[in-house]
Amino acid sequence: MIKINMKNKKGQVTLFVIIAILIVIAVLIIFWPKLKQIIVPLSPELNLQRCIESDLKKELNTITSNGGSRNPSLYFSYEGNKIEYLCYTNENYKTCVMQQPLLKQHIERELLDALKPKITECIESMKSNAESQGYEVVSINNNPSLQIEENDIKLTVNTNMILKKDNSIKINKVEAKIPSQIYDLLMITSSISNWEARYGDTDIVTYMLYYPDIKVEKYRQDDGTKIYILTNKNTKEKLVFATRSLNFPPGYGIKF
Amino acid sequence: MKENKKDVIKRESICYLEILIMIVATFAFAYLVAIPETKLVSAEMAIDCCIQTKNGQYCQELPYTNCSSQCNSICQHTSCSNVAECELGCCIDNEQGNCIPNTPLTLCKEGNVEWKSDASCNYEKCKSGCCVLGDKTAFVNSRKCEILTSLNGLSQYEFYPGETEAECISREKSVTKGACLFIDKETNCKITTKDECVRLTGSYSNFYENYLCTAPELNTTCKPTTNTTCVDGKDEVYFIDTCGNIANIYDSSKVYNPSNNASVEYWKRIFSKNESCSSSVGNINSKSCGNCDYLLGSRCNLYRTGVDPESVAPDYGDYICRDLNCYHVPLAINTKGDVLLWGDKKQGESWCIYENLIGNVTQQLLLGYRTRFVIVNGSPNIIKVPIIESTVSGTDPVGSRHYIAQCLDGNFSISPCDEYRNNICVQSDVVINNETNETFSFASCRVNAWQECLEYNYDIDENTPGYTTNDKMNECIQNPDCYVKQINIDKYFKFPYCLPKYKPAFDLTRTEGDGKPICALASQTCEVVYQKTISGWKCIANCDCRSKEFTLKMNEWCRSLGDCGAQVNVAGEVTTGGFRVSGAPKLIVADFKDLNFTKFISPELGKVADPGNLTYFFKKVGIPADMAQPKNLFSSSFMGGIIGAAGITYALASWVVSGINGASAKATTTAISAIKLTGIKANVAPYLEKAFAALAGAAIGYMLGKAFGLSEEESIALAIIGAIVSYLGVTYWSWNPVILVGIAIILTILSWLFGIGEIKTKYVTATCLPYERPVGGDNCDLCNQNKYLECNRYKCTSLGSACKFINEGTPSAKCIASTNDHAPPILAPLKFTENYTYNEFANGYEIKDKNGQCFEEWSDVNLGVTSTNKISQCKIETKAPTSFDSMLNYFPDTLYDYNHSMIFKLPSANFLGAIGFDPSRTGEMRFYVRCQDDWGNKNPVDYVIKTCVKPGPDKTPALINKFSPEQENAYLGFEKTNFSLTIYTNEPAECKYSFSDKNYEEMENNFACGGDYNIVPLNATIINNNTEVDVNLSEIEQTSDDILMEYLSKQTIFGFPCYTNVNVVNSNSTIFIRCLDQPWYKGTNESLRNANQQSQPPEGYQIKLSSSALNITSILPSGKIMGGVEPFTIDLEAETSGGANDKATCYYSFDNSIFSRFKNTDSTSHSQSFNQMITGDYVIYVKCVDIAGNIATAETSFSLEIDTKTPKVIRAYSSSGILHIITDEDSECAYSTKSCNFIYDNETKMDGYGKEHTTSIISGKTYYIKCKDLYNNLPGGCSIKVEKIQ
Repeated sequence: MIKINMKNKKGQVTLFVIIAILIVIAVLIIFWPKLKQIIVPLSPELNLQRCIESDLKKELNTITSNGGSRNPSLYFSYEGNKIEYLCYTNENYKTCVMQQPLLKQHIERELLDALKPKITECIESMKSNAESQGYEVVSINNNPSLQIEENDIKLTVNTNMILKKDNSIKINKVEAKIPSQIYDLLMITSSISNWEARYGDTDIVTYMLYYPDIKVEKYRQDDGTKIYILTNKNTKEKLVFATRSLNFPPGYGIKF
Repeated sequence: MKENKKDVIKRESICYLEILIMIVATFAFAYLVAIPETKLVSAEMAIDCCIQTKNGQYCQELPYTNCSSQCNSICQHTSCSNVAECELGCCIDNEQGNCIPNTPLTLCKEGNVEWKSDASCNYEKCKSGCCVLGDKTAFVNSRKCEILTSLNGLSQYEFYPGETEAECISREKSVTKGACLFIDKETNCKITTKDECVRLTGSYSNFYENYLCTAPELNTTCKPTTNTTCVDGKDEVYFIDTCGNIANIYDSSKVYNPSNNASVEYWKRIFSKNESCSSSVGNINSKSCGNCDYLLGSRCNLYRTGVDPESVAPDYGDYICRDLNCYHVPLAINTKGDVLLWGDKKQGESWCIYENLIGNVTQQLLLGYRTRFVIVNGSPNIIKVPIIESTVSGTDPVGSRHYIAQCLDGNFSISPCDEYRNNICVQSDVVINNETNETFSFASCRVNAWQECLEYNYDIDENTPGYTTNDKMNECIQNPDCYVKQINIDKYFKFPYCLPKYKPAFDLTRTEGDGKPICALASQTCEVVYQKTISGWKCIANCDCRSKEFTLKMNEWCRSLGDCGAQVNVAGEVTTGGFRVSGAPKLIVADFKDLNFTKFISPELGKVADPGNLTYFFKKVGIPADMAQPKNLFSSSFMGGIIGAAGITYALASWVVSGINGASAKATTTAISAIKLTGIKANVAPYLEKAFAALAGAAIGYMLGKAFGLSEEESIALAIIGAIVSYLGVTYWSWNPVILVGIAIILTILSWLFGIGEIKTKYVTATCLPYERPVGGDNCDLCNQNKYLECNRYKCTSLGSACKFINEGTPSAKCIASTNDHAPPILAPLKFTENYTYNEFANGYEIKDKNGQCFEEWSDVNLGVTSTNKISQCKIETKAPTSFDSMLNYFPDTLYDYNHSMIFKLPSANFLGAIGFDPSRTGEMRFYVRCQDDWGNKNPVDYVIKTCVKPGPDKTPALINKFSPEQENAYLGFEKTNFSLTIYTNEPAECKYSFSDKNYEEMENNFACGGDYNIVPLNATIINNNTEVDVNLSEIEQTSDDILMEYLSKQTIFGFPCYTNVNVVNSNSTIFIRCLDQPWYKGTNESLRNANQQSQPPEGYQIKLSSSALNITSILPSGKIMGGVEPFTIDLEAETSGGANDKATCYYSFDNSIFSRFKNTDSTSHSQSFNQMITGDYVIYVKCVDIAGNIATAETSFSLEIDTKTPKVIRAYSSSGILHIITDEDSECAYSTKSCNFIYDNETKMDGYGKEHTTSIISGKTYYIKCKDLYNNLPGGCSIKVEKIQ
């Protein structure tokens, strides 16, 4: 039977602990640059992006599911949703009149309006963070703008914020870029609306053959409304809108 | 290699065909733009323009009556095109570079935008081209390209105007890329574009064009792998290197192997798609090659272990060219959802699905039989002659729709074309491999131009004078959606009629949008003419109108107009309620057994609708900026509204086929001459004895001919023979002329006594109504059962009167049957209280005027009932019926509704038996109503509506309600003498006119009025020797009831029509018109009749003469026109002078056959805009007509040339500190000193707008210069770069 010397064992444990501590220190030294990034407070841009991203995507989804407006006034009720008409005529036999010619700007405005409270909240949160780190924060204004770009949505907040501690740091603006392919959908939407306005209809198969990443669905309604659903096959982003153009009523559509 | 080339051609073909289809679709949509404008706008139809509605709609035209309640702004009493804020134009968004057509001015004001007047955006800056953006391309306009170039941080602005979208997409694959080296990075190489590399590294020298990062000579850390990946926006499977860079297209034979030179090379430089493995075949499911191609049916996708067959697992990596073609997909489906034909379809193919027969069927079908009497070996025989139609029209069953199916990304989907068959699915199959006959099908839902077909039958004289029926029918033939049907029942009842190939559908449940007015086009009356012979009455004209053939053919015409008449629905159920005939054999369901309607509900495999002749569409290239409305065929003058009391038949549209009216009009003249001939009196004088003998002989011959029922020609021939024989007899054989004259007189007297030669007319009427749905709801669920073809409201309601479409617009929409309560409808009076008083009694009510008195004779009374407990279908009769089914007349139509009402014209009290003037006596009239609900539960007893008419005597003569043309429009064509005039009287009457004001009896000229029954068709002959000879006398006995009926059947909303042709022989062109009422008393009780004591109008009806011919004084454009963009907008302008009233309506044509109306006309200036003009030589024919029918024609020719070339700088020099630029054409130039990538309008302009351009030189600067010509042709890059001028 082997007899274990407990005293020796304690020494071994101590040795192992020391080695472990050394290893941890070594690891910290080796990976310090990366750890530093984790520990150091996020950049204002990243902060804003993380703060706003989910709300932006949610609001964007709401707006694009409704044809470009949060609360459309001119809409078709389709499966419980209000789908805005981008091109519309109440008459028969006529091509539609464009109702939202500057769609991209309109969506940008709508999105920005929807996000303003959240943006304020995010900026306030940034200020609080800075203050908690001992900064004195002087904020002159909070003037956000938003642009839909090719691969993302760019949110810019002209903060003119000054952080005072030892030195003064001035943050003129904070920009956040949230990845989105909605721009492509907007361009195809404009193209479809243009065809509707000029010729009264579009051939969705051609669009899909030209742009394999985009799925275009068209659903004709009884009153002559067409519901278009554009989906980016990769990102699953959708843009849903309605048109009513060149409608043929049953018979001559004249009441006798 | 040869095979590859073939495939490339194939692919190109597909690409071009897609574009072609798109163009076809474009013009198909534009097609209806050519539909002429509304002709008549009533007060109710007047529209206002609302700039913004309360719902947020901009620039909408709303009915005048409710505009103010719907509009957020002030209603403008004009169309939106006349309201400045709503003028449609092109909104150019300079910030985004978008051009938005059809935009109201009011919506194009915010931001950096400009609004231009061409609503089609035919501007150079709006013209799309190919914009190259690094490794991507975009099909955008030049301004947008500038913006995208800037957004992408690219230095090189690369724009190729004039390229198609397909060409642009192809260009994407040829963007130059290469390896970009990083110095101090772990991953020290990236595949990118040169610009991107410069942006990343700050130097061009780090970029190695066409090299891969794995090229040994670059000595990077990136090494070849066997891994593959898909790339966003690309079709192919790509190798990746150890740095994650995309390498060349996956090819298992090129996996890196140092001993394999080909593989080494493959990992060294970038190979194009064409250089890669098996290009142009798609490589579907290839294990070894990842050269996928979306258009050829494949695209990079993950290999799914356990899902995809192991045989297609890639040799290397995880990705394959996924097969996107569709296999075993439905090609033909019927209404029940049975797939009748399966097949395979390629990626991108689309095809039409019809659930039943469409259009016309060319196979021979037996319509039925007609009975004929024939003489066989001297003995009469009855035979049954089959009525065979080689082309059966109007086959689309009620409830049917066209669908389009497509194969995309391996998925098969079906979507419906527009409802009510306003869209048809057209398909074109293109052979892509001649050896295997492999085809590729393209389908499209396009506009069904059925309205145009009906337009061709429109009263041509009124619409476009100078056209003939043949012209119109030729237009009909050229229209791919129309065909000419020959309605050929008998010699005087035959005419061509233009019908839709694909008949329209109607709303079967609503009065708005139903087909009643269209169906009524086939409601026609055939006049069958009888003549009395010695053996009795004999039918001499239109005899076949009494046969079953008339019934069947008229129903086929009726059915071909839309959802009208007796026909079949998608479930195969036949109903006959939509068609009614009087005077000919009735239609019964059994009649359709031979016709085999069940064939109608199965599609004819392989048959597709014609995409249409492209040439035809291109001829209609003049697309107005604003879209025209279709002509309102059914303006108030045409609608069948007022119903005769006893006849209960729809008034005929006044534009009844000209053939019918033509025959009648001609007939009158002949009848008069025939009567004159028979009325010759013998007046013997010695010196005329031979002549009188001959005349007497002629009369004898004619009389005998008539007595024995010979035709007009035969009787005249006999008269001539009689004249010759009598002349010879008197001259050579000593016949006594007195005896001959005596015989003639005796024969004349006998004829007069026995009525020999007397002519009478009977009317055979076909009434075409909207299709009557089958009673009940047993088939409703059929609509839901079809898992391929979606159920919709129209199809659902066609399946039965109890079928209802619920949850419309939601995923749970379905067709269900309403509950059957097994109770009949409960009827109550439908009261119009303002003008009437009502007294209800058990199961009925009495209606009187507002004072509780009986109505005046000929009053219009609105009668109505309401079914209080449920919707119902009602019928009405003036004699007590035995059952609902035995009743013939719908009240008012076949539709199911709560309220049922009709306006009836009450007859005279005399007519109702209250003869003589006695205020205490009244003529009573009863109407019997019965209804059934949608399950067929019927009223067991009659609901009675009683009314009464005040007794006469009728002391009021007839009044003229309306002149057509109205006095102010009464113009006679230049050097013309015949003026066609129609008057409408308020009660049946005979009318006359004279060139001086005199009593009715003294007036010389007759109008042909509705009840004029003494007519014989022109050159009437006994054309049906084989038809039955014996006629039941009662069948043709004409009573005063008949005469009234004849008048009522001709009644229109304006009253009772009378027609005449005024022969204006001198400048005295004022006529005086008077009428004599109650024609049924003609010859029996003339004293009861009332003649006008004053002419109508008292001062006479003046026919104004045209002082000169109508002339087209100018047409523009002509000669050579230069434009800068295609399509180009050209304004056609014409000026006219002279004619009737200095105004004319002008039409234009590109081929001198199909004419369309100018958009702005009815004046002396006429204009039309064409905004789809392309380069070429054009001849435009112009035809103008004025109100008098004066016609002027002219033509203009011009050639359109498009200058798409940018100006070239042919010389540049400096002189005295001035930079001189010389261009090869007139242009203007601007320069930047930074780069070629500048926005022209934002930079400094050089002086000079001709060929020479100058600017002062700033020493040491480089001048980047762009020049644009008069047509705004601007180069993508620089026109010239002038470097570092000292």
